[in-house]
Order: sequence, then C-alpha cells, then structure tokens
Amino acid sequence: MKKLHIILLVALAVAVGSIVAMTSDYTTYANFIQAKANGNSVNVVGYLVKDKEMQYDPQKDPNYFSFTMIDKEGNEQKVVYKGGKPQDFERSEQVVVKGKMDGEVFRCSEISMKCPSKYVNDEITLKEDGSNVTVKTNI
Amino acid sequence: MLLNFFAERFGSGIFQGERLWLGHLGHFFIVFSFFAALLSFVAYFAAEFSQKDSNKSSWNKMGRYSYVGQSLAVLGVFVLLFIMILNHMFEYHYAWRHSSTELPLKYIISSFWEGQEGSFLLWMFWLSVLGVVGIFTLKKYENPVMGIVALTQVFLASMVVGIYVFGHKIGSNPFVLLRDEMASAPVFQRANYLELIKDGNGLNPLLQNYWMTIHPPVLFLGFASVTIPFAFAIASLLRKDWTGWVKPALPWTLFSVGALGTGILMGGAWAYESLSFGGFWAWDPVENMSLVPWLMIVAGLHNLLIYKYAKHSLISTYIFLIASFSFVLYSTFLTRSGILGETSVHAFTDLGMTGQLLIYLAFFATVGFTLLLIRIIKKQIPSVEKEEDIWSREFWMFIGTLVLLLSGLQMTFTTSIPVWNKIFGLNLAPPEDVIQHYNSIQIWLGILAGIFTAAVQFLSYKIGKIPATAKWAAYSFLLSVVLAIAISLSMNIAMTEQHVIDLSKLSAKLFIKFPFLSSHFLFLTAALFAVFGNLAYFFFVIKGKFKLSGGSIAHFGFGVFLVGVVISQGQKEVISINHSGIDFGAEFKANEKMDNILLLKDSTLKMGDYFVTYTGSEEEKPNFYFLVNYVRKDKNGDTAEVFTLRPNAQINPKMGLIANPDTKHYLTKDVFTHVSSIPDNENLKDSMTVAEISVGDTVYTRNSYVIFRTLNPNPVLPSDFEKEGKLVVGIELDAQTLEGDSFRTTPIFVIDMTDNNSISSIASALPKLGLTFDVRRIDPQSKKVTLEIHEKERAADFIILKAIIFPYINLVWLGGLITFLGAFISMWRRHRENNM
Repeated sequence: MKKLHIILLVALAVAVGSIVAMTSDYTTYANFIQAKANGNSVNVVGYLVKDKEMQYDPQKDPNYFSFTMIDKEGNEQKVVYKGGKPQDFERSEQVVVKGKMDGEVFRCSEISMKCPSKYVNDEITLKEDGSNVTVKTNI
Repeated sequence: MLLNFFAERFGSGIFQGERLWLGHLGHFFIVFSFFAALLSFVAYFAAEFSQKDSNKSSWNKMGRYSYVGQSLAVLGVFVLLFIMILNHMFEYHYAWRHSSTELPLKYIISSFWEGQEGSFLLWMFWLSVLGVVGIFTLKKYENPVMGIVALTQVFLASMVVGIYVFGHKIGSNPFVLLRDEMASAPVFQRANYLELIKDGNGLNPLLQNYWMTIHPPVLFLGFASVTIPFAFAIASLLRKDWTGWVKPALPWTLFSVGALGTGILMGGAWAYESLSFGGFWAWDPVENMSLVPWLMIVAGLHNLLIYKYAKHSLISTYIFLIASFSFVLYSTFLTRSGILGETSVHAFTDLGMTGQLLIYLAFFATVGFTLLLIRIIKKQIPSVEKEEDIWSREFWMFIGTLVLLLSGLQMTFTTSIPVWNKIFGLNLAPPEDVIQHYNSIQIWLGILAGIFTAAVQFLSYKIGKIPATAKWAAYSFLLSVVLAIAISLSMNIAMTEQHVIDLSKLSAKLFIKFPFLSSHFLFLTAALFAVFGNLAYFFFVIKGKFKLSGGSIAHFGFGVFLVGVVISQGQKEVISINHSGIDFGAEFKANEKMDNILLLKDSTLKMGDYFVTYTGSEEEKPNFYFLVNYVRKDKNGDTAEVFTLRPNAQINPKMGLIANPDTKHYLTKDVFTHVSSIPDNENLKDSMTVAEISVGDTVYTRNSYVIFRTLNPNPVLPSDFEKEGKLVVGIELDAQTLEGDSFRTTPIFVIDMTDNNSISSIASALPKLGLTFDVRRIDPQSKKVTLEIHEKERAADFIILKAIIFPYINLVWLGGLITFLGAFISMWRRHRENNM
C-alpha cells in the first residue's frame, strides 16, 4: 500500500471519529415533559405566558431572570436564565430556550426570541391618515 | 385598456408622481445582462470547441463583446438602483424596504446590499469586473474560463430577473413597485398614494455601522473571485491540458485567498467592534460557511503548488478548487434559502428562491465533480509513479491541506444540522455550547496548522533529505518553546490540563482521562513556531529576497494571527464580575460566572484594575450614549489614567434596544464595554395609599417610612394663603429613607368657617422621594388623620454593563492583514513570472 493511501485512511478515520464524537454534543428539540424525563440538555420552542409574573430585578441581581413559558404542546414551565432579561421580551412572539431541567425549574443557558416586528417590517406609515396600515406580504 | 397600459408604463395617468422609467430601464438591463451573459457563454464555448481558427476568433469576439455588454448592463442596473435609493423613490419596494430619508449617506449605500437582490448585484458587479480583467489577461485560457464565468453570471442574473415562467417565479427583481408588492393595502386605491407615504422602513439598526458599508463589497469580491480558479480547473479538465493551466491559475487563486480572507477578517472586526458577541468569531453558521470556501481555496493553492513543482496531487487540486466554489454556492444556499432559520443572526429573509439556489449549487458541483470523475475513471489524469518521499516538501504540504480539509468538514457538518434535519427528518439542534463544540476540535487542527506552516517551508520539493538549513527550524522551535513557557508563566496560562476522550456513547471503554500539556499552551507554542520559523526561513534561507517572500510573509502573518487568537480569546478577562448576586435559591451554583453588573448612576465599582463610574447619558438621536468613566490608580493610589467610554444604545421603535459596545484600544489590549440592559422608565406607576393614623404612627412607602410626629396648629403657610376666617392644622410628618436620610414635610388641613365649614387641604410633596401627602379629614374626637399618600415610582438610572479585557487582540488584525498582504505579494510575483 502506498503511503498516500495510508494517510488518506488515517485522515478518514480521524474525520469519521471526530464527527461521531461531535454528534454527542448535539442537542434536540423537545417539550418540557420530555426534558423532564430524559434530563438532557434540549431546545424547547414555545411561548411566553404573559400574564404570569416575570422576575427580573437588576438592582438585586442583574444576572437572574425568570419567567413562565408554555411549550407547543401546552406544558407550562418556570424557566430561569442566568443573565439579563432580553430587551422587549414581553413582545416576543415565540421563544426558544436551550437548557435542561433542574428540579422544578428549567435552567436555560440561552434564550432566542422571535419578535413580530423584527422579521415582518412590512408596515407602511402614512402621512396624514394617521392610522398605520399593516400588510403581511408573502415575499 | 390602452390608456391603462400606457399609464402603467409611463406613470402619466392613474398614479401621481411615480417615476416608472427607472424601473423599466433597470429591469431591461437585468434581462439584457441575463441574455448577454448567456450569449457570451455560448459564444465562448463555441470558440473553444470549433476547429477552424477563423471561426474560433469570430466566436471569441462575440463572447467578448457580449460579456462586455452584460458588464455594462450590470453597471447600468447598479447605477439605477443607487439612484433609486439615493432619491428615496419609495414607489419602489426595494428603496422603501431598505432605506429611509433620515439615513446618512454611508448607510444609504449600505441599504443597497441589505437585501438579497442588492447583494446578488454586488456579486455580479465584481464578477463583471473580474471577467473584463480576464478578457485582457487570460490569453490561451480565455475561451473556456470566460465561458464558465459567463455561465455563473447567467445563474446570478437569474436570481434578480424576477419573471414568471409557467407560474414559477424566477429570481426577485429589485425594481418591483411597492404597490405591486403590497397590492392589498387600501392606500394604493388612491392616485396620490405616493404623497402619503411618509418614509421608508430604513436600514435594520443592527446593520447601521460603517462596517456594513465596506465589509459586504470586499466579501463579495472574494466570493466572486473564487469562480475563476474553479473555471480554470474545469477548463483544464475539458481540455485535458494538465499543465498549461497551472501558471495562469496561480495568481487568480492567490488573489482569491487574499480577497476572501480580507472580507472574512473584516466581518470578524465588525462582530468584535459592534456586536455583542464578545469576540471576533462566534462560530455562527454564516461565518463558518464563508470560512470553509477560504480553507478550500487555500488547500487548492497549496495543491496547485505541489503539482507545479513536484507533479503530485493533481487530482486533489481539482477536488479543492471545485469544492471551494461549491462551498461558496452552498453557503449562499444556506444563508438565502431561510433553512438556517433560528440558528443564525445573519440569514437573509427567505425570498422563495430555495429551489433556484439549490439548482445553482447542484449544477456546478455536479458538473465539476462528474467531469473530474470521468477523467479519473478513464485514467486520463497523469500521475507520478514514484511516491512522495517522506522528507519532501510536497508530502507534508499535502498532509497540511488535509488538516484544512478536516477543519472545513467539521464546520460544515455541524453548520448543516438544519439540512440533515430536512433530509433525514431528524430533530437535531445545535450543541449547547457551540463555541466549546468547535474549539475542542479546531484548536488541535490549529496546532497542526501552526507547526506545518513553519516546518514544511524548510523541506525541499522532490528531495527526500532534510536540508542543512533545517537547523534554523530546530532553533526557532526551541525559541518558541522557551517563549511559550515564559508567556504562559507571566499570563497565567495553564501549561497542563486533563484531557478527555469521550466516545462513551459508542462504548463505555472509550472514555479516557489523562493529564497532558494543555491545548492552549501547545497552541501558543505552535503559533510562535509559525512566527519564528518563517522569520528564520525568510532571513537565513531565502536571505530576504523580496521576490520569494510572499509565502514566508503570509505564513508569518498567519502565525501572528494564531498567537493573537490564543492570547486574546484564551486570556480574555471579564472584569464586570458580579460579586453581589443575591441568592434566589439553589437555582444557580455559586461558581457560575455572572458577567453582567449593575452600575447605579454616580456610583463607582472596582473592576479589574479600574474604578468604573457611570456618570450619565447623552442623547444624540436616535442613540443614547452612556458615559462610563474608567480610572486606573497606581500603587500610591494616585490617578494614573482616566478615560471615558461611550457605549451606545439605540432605542428603536421596531426592535427595542440595540446596543453597540465601545472599546478603549491600547497597543497590547482592549477594554471592551457593552451595555446589556437599561431600566425601563416608560411604564412608571403611581400608587396611592390611604392611611388612618394617630400621632406616633408609622406608614411605610416603597422606599421610606413616614412617622406622624404631631399636629401643629401654626404651620408655615404659603405666602398667598388668606388665613382669615380659616382654621388650619399642619400634619407634621417625618419621612425617613432606608439610607437614613430624614425629611420633614407638612400637609395642611383647612376648615373655612366663612364658607359653611367647608374643608380643603394644602398638599405637600417630597420630590426627592417621589412622595405627595394630602389630608382628607381629621376626626375631631379621636384626632385620627386620614392621609392620602401618592407615591411616584422613581425613574431608575442605572446601566447593566459587561466589560471584557482582550489582551493582544491587535495581533489578530495585524496577523490577518500580513497574511493577505503576503498572498497579494505572491500574486504579483506569479503574475510577473507568467509575463516574462
């Protein structure tokens, strides 16, 4: 066998090995029930429960934020985040939290949210009429 | 009917003030460029494959003229789109969507390429420029290379052509009218609608940054430039000419390395300077997918050199060059199809062109790799029988390119998670700690890359012997080790660490823990070796010959870059650590890092070496600048240094708070300051409590307690108060704050005996505490007072701050620039050689 072939085989082995090893880092999407059951780190997609209390008091601790979220299957769950409250969190349309269950709370390390205005800015502001016209277009 | 037709085309009738000529002309140019590029492709290929010389040259002429024609048309589209945006022609959707009247010029320019259409045009513009340069310089390879360039231009033009073919929308035309795009809005029933439209939507505030003005043009120049080495590879495969293409392809490949690299580095500088990433690289999918083509083109370049000097690695040269262009297209597909969705901050809005993008990618990747495969299967590609010698330069250079390949593969594999989900119906999500995920593998590949860049230079092509000059490699390696130890000791970089090989998901036996030199230490050593090895090579082996210096300069720069990476990222220090976190229960462990800290106005906190004070804010619409004062004291406690940083926040009605950091730059470090949150003073609530109290009673408010001292029959009255015929009683109150300050205040109860004993009161206020007191009644028997306390929620003034020190970050920028400078020097050298 040529050296080249040996090298290519080794490289292939390293590549396959590292890719397989990497996939153990991957997380999955789940709901809160599944998160509770398997205890692993997961991504939960859902919505903020706006009438439940959000706790963020930066004067006490700027790195603590808790809120209640409901996943797509309707399971409600208290979520705590070590970090500041994202700006305009109340206005979020959808929330994705990454983290795992810890006792009764879901501890998340990352929050991403989808704001309606952030993605759909198809809103024409008119001069005299006063009222804004919002049209959703399917571009 | 006919009238309508003309009215719609020339804007004379139904709608007032529309400047329709611009859109028609623009769209005409787009369609023209599409067909001219198509013609150019056909003509160039006809020239390539026709047998007779006279036919060849007339086809070639046609190819040239039509390519120049399409380039002029692209230039026309470019100019028209600028005119449209610059003049705020809001009858056009693109101008309305991406710009507004209040934008300064540099952002008006940026809004040109905010949308997909504009950025495709930018790409086409550069490919036109490169193509015209190619017409003059490609010589023997003009026909096939330009043919392929023209063909990619056809595909690009199809992305902006915006026509319907059998009900399918092909491309998205930037000259679409607002009233067509949003036809259902009632305002478009009115002929004068244009007068009513106040302003455009404006540029996304996250993109309002001068980097947005300069980063995309450079990046797209890089993307466009990758086409040409690819076209060379395909051309040579078509011609079965295995050697003639190498020399002319080299300068183009080097140009790509420099241009694309500069574009990516500028993206990093942007992220570092104005986004809240807290670094210059966040392993974001879009960042990764612009880096992978660069890694591939660098690997392609090195294989091209191996082939030129040692006749090995021809097949892998083709693979890398085809791959780099395919990855440009793959990256385009990922960012523009909407498939990345939530996983990236960069992605464009989906314009429904997924299918078209996929065809573009599949076409070129399939054509390229199929052609290569055919040539391999037919055994048409020559190869050298003799194996590479183990101590030859070509052998180790090739291994080095495999390192680049592995690096690119890992990035691609994880970045493509949304694609795997789509194809295999999986439910995967990105890793919990993305940065850790990539770093844990890339750091080892970086170590290898650092060592290779230095050591392999010392070996010679085709000679399997270690040359005498290699002693310089050994000396510089020793120097690197010594320096790495010294730096590690002085900067507290751990030199050993526990390593874990965790494949326990496969088999429990594959979980191994062992102590070893730390990856950061090894990385630092390898990076220093790349620096000193290349310096030694430059001075002692090629003896400072500028002509030959390109490679050494590039590799030296790469070493400097790696040193910058490991020190600035590995040793970055968050100084805004919050020590005063209040325990909200056991939800967080004590050792978890709390990066954000609250700074009340005018209060000072010690962060690292600095005493930091938030002194107030300044408004410069639409931005708020927060003044953060840094003071550093020397050993005697004297002030050694004072500076003020002005991180800003834009309160955007559409997106809330958009924060931009501010950074104090030193030669050896940066102090990075970012406002992550400000108080919400919009919704301050007033509260009112009613209390019935006797003398000596205490009432609690939010921030103070109020003691009822006594009833005073002779209170101090306002000067304009007419006391005659009235009975007055002062209610003496002491309000004490939690901080211990005390304030006296006296609301007054009034009985007007001349007016039927009607009662009234004079309220008193303590503005500092946000309190107002009023008396409702006094019970004559019990002497109990009914007090009304209004409490205004105080507007809080504080910022939540994150401050990070990045040591030696300048090495990252410097190293990157030197690398690309080296690439351009080499390009110049190769170009000169070809013309000699």
